[in-house]
Amino acid sequence: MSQTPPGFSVKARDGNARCGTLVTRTGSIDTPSVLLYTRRGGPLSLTSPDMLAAVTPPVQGVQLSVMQFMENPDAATLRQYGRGAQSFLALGPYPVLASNRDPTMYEFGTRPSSEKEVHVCIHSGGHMVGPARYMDTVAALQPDLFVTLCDEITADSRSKRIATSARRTAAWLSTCLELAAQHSQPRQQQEQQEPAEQQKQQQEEAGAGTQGAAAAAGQEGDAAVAGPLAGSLALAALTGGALPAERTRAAKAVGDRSDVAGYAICGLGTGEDPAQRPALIAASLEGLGLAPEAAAARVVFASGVVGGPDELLEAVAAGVDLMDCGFVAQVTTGGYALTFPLRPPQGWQPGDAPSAAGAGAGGADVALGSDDTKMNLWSTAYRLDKGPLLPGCGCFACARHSRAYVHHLLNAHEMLGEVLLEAHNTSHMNGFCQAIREAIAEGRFEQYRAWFRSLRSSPLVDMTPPGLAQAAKRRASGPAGEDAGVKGAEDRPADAEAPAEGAGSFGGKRPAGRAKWVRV
Amino acid sequence: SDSPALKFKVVATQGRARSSRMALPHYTAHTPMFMPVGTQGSVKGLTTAQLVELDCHVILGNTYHLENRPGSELVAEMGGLHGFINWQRGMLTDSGGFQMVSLLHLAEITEQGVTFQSPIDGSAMLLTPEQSIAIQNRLGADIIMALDDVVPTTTNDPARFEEATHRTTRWIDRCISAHSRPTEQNLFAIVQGGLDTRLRQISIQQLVERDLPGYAVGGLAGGESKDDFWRVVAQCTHPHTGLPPGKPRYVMGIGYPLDIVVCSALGADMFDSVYPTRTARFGVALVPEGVLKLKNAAHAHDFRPLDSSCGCMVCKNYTRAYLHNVVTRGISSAAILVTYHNIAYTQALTRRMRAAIEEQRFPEWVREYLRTMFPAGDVPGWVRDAMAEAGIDLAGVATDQPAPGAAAAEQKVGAKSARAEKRAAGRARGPVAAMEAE
Ligand SMILES: [Zn+2]
Ligand SMILES: [Zn+2]
Repeated sequence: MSQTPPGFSVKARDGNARCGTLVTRTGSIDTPSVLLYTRRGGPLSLTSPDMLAAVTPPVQGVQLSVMQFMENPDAATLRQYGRGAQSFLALGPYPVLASNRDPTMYEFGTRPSSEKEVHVCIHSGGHMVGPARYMDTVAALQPDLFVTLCDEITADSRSKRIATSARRTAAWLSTCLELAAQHSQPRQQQEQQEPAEQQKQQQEEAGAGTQGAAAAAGQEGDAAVAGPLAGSLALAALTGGALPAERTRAAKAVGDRSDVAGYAICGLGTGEDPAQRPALIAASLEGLGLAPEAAAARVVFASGVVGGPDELLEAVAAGVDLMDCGFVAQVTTGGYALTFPLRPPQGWQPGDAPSAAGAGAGGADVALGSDDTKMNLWSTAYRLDKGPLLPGCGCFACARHSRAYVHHLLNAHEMLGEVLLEAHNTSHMNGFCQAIREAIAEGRFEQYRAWFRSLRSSPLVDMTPPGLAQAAKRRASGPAGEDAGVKGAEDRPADAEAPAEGAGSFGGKRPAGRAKWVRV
Repeated sequence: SDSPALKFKVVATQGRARSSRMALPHYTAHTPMFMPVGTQGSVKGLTTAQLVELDCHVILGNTYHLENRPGSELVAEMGGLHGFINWQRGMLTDSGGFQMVSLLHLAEITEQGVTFQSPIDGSAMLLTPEQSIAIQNRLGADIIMALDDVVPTTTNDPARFEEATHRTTRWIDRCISAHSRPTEQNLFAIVQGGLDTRLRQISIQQLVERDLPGYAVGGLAGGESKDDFWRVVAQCTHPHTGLPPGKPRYVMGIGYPLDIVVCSALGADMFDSVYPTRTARFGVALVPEGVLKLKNAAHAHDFRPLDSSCGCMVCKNYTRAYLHNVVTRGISSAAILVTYHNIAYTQALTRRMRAAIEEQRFPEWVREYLRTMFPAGDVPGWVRDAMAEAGIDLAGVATDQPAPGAAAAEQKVGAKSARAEKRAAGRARGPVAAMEAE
């Protein structure tokens, strides 16, 4: 694998959906797949590397937002550290994609962007970020893939604003790629000399050896080392709002470039109707005007498209290979375990009754505050449920713990509840991607898609969890504050004393949380 | 000594310190040991698989919290605490009394038990010794604690201490009668008596007469002076007049590493506290030099691990610089990482003590430990006194007290010298109440 040069190749396709392998300098990613969500480089609750390694099917890659490294830590700190984000954040053996935003919040638009810079709001406040500062940070992060700087706009942008965004994003693309080329050049040790000395001083003070920047800097003195972005793959940002014609125009301005490994479809998940998304993705890809061979060698990343499994599936159907995924963070914070079935029953044919497909196989029940894709572990119906989150699931959480325990942990506001839910939900989404890859490879993707849609009484209904509506408002009024909880935190019932009416055989026997102390 | 559900074997002693094996129904614990607190059935974000990895032998559950939710009857239906949280090693539950007295308004102790106002509907409730034991029998921990009449050592009322001492004895008899699973669970009695050596001696004698599988030293870690603290521990662990040498001795509420070392040197075996896990969430890591305050700006560019002598998953993978930025910023995984290290630290500390005792080099180990924590030789007086009592010579380690004004000078350079800063922080810590819940 290490012999293959970094790049993308399609192994199978079914309609516009494709199944492929993205080789990076760290390792390869099977596509389609979702990337693990991180905030400021850390998974929300899963400790890395131990708990990430427990995710099964395995994590394919990790997404982080370049913007969250404008400060605390900044590029200078990371450069001084010298070994890149993967090591600094202990992200294990997984390839790292550095993108220009966090899919769970919208950090742009508080103040206008200019021809030279985009305004971004992060944990430490507002920053103006131009291509130089952006690429400086990318280089310090040393990711396996990166998205070029995009003048992000929301779905409600008008033609004129979209045109401006397209012009800036295309111009910044050229600048970013030039800077990436510079950051890929072999460089002399000199730049790392100073931190190495500081490191040595610290070591002396500590009286103990350590592996830090000094080790990374190498001791050969004047030997040239590869630049931090040598072998890192560039994904050209495609902007465009919610007007397909403007998206096509924006993509045309970028077109076929031999110096990019693929494209990043930006600006999605910013208020557009999810049903409209496949058309927007198609418009962006069409606008590129790639020859079939070129298209087969370019990976397509889309940010903000995974609001649920249906949306993921539709994005794949439209030709997306890689996605970031705020969805797991959202459902986990809401206390949900994903339960949708991953594979159609044997011999399923279009036209079969959806019930035959085993919808709700995971025990999801609308009456329990769940829908047919997920179950709400806050529900008192699970108080005494010894079963795993999802029967048949082999994930870390399901192999070891019961619904009753997770329900209790949520009630008791114990962090472990979210750890176990994140472990299950991450595994479940990876399992979903794996099932999709199999379906594409076996030429039955359309059938798989038809089956999955049949599980829903009306496909692509608004699957937005209640909390997302508020989050969408927040998006419009600027990003969340310093490390605010993931959107959807408001989903939480204020009180876990949910009605136990018809809630299985255990519910209703006894009110939850009532201790049996002796009254006097 | 052998009890139906506990076999305690001292495998090595050196001075008053001892290394022992305590065979419990679910696990054979090695002592001296530190028991992390899992108040509501989980240790602050750590999975039970991680707790095994961290070499935890026994973890705690708090009866008061567990009875409030999910309730001991539910836990019993789920296979007891072990089954409910899927932890196959040892567990210990407290009586619930201390939690009530410390957490609830209007909690009051009468001969019947602890009366308190229900946090749910405000009605008057009562926890009796019988009921505490019944709840703990349902929870099913390997070790259960007697309901005792605990008075804060800072109370200035000798009569109250007298009453509490004798009531604790009366209550232990009620606990013993109420205990329905003596062959599966071990009831430990708790020595009371405040700071009064006479009362402590009475309590020891009366409780030892009941021949229980193990004993705890209660009423400490509640704001008394360090000098008072170690003297009570020393009295209870005294080789001739203290608790029986063949049974485990548990000092409740102890979690500062230095306190663990001192108590172990005096012959105590078991410790618990929320300190290592709670302080982690405030961004404080335990290190051999004392504590490391990760929020300190000096760590922003510090690419060393939390503790270069620690082999834990966190120290192998993370720098102080990463944790500095995120530890108290709402990213749970970062708080869990520091919690993980702090538990690794306490478990390694007790593991090293056991090895040192077994290899008959415990005094040397103690000296090296104190040298690292107090490189200037300014070992606190109470530690010197306690170590003298334990028969450990600190010559060359506890040199002269720092000159007057040296402390102030140290404060000034504190910002520049990470080590001095750590030392200062290590001393500035406040008390953590015994048996406090997480
Ligand atoms: Zn699972
Ligand atoms: Zn460590």
